[in-house]
Amino acid sequence: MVTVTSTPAPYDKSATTQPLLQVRDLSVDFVTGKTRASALRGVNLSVAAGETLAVMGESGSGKSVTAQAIMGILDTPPARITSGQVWFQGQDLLTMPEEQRRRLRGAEIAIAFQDSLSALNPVMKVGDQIVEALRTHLDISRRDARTRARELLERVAIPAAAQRIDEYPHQFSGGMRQRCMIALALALSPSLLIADEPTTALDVTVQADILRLLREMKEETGMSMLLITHDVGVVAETADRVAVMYHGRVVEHGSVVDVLTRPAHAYTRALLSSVPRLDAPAHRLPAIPGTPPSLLTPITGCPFRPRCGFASPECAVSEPDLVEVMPDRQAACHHTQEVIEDD
Amino acid sequence: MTDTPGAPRTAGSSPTSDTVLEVTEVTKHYPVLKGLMRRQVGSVRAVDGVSFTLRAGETLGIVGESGCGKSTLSRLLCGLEKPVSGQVRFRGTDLASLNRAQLRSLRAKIQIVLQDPFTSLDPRMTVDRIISEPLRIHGWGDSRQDRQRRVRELIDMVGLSQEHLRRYPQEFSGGQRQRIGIARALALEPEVLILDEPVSALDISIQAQIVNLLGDLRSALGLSYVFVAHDLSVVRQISTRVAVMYLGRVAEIGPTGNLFDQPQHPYTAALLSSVPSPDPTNPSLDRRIALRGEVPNPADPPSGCSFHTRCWRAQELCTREQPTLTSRNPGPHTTVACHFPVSATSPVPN
Repeated sequence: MVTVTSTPAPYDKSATTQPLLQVRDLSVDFVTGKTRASALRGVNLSVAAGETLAVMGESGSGKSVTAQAIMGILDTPPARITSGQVWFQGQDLLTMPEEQRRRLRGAEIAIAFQDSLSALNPVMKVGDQIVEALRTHLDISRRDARTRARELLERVAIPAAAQRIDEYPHQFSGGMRQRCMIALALALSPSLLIADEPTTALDVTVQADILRLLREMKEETGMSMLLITHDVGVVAETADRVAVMYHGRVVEHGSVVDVLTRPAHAYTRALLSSVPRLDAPAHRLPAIPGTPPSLLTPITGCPFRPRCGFASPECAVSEPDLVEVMPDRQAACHHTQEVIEDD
Repeated sequence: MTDTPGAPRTAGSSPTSDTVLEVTEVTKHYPVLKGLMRRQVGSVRAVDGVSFTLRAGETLGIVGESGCGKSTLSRLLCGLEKPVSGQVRFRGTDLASLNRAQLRSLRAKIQIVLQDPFTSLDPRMTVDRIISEPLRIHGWGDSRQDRQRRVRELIDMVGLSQEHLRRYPQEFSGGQRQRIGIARALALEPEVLILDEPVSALDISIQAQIVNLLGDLRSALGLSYVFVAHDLSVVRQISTRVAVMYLGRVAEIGPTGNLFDQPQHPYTAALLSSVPSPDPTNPSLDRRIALRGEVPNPADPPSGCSFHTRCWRAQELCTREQPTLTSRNPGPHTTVACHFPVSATSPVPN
């Protein structure tokens, strides 16, 4: 086993091969009164131009906090970024002035949320919201912006876009509203789309439509995507690479095919086998016992240890580092070799 | 549609001695009101002529997308809603024929478990009180000691410990809350559990625990389940039979394996093909059957087969005549409401 530490080399602004987005050693605490919850503990991630990175995890794993920290929409307080950098196109988002960051957001970094009803302005026509976004960032006439808005709605397959451009969000079905939000997110041709559980609230046939749309838009525009999801199926169908999170850390990272077919972390392995399959007859699901540990109490050793079938005394002593376990694959597990060989 | 008792029964619903629930042509409409005078201008057919039987020890999965009527159906099954026509019979007794007191004692036998049972409970009640409340209300046992013993038995049954009894709902994780919800539902020794999306709010690793727990309880206590869910993979895991609903009607119903492996209704086929595959080497969405349009307004459903506006196999007949559930063979146990059911060799659009 190769045990090269995967902590990336210092960020070099001048290098041309740098990823579009690089999150380095990001730590976030939530402080309320006397309690302190460590939501993120040294997260490293990178998204290359044109690729989709999925951040997969369960509740409390830190996947949404990661997305919010990148977007700069964490509520501070109670949240506090205690360390780390978020490099985007050669600039650290965390240290840049808020005004500059706001300009970047929307134009270069766009966001698609799970709940389109609260992401869109309920008292403003859908078309006007897109027009406003275009005119805020571009020197463009109202008329041209409106034409562009209609084209965008047509592009995301809103039927009768020329009429529906003058409707309000509540007049659309859930799936169509999700399309409107994607149209708004893509209005300024961002180079990065952060999609936070974009299909979680949707019915399965609508979800399939939206996943296809996201994939098409990505291919068409060459943008990168950071996809936050708990759904293994969505990861498998949409992403190029995946970072698996548990208890505020990335515990495994690699290409989607590698990670999902041959996991190297005991948690990833256990998680994948507890997913019910559509194509398999009923069998007893190998459930993961117990619940994730509380973020409020500091733990020694591996946070997955109490639920892990591979755990050994070593796991109680030290928390494993995220290390390169094979080319292009990192895992933070003391038992990677056994996990890989166990079939 | 008829509400006459003893009306002809559709295929697959002949009652036998082990029939627990018998649902016959059940229909529930909600009025659509408009204007200052709240004039009724139409009605939404939330559930429209649904028939099936639930046999002892069986789990009937009910799947479908938002607005298909599955949640209204689950409320009808436990007597929380009254049908406008048709019957729900529990062990031969029509729920609609009972007075309030009778219905209340019968409801002990049919319990409902919701997605998050705690949203409807007092956060200041301890788990002990939450589980013992139905026992107190129904005067279960002879003494307070009897009831306490029952509560301890129940908390044990769902895999929690005695010390949890003194705690409050907000101290528990989603999975533990659902265990408490199940313990409360089991308190009065029901025969049937109506499980309405019981695991959809849970994380995958916890979801599997609850699915396994439900399976264990079913065999240990001889329960029958109606398992309502939108997650088709979970339904496949737990159900012995499955009904697929579309716009208030059953499109197809049959044994789980047959229905998932050889769907006959075009809607079932489309629904199954839309589920993302967790296997990246075998993605399913590329082979998916994409439906045109959206689910029509249930207040104004299409004529004939309500699916015809989105169906790639629809012909003129489908716009005129509503298909009834019939057995189509070679799967004699599956019934399908379709004039032109699909087979493994049918061409599909994408």
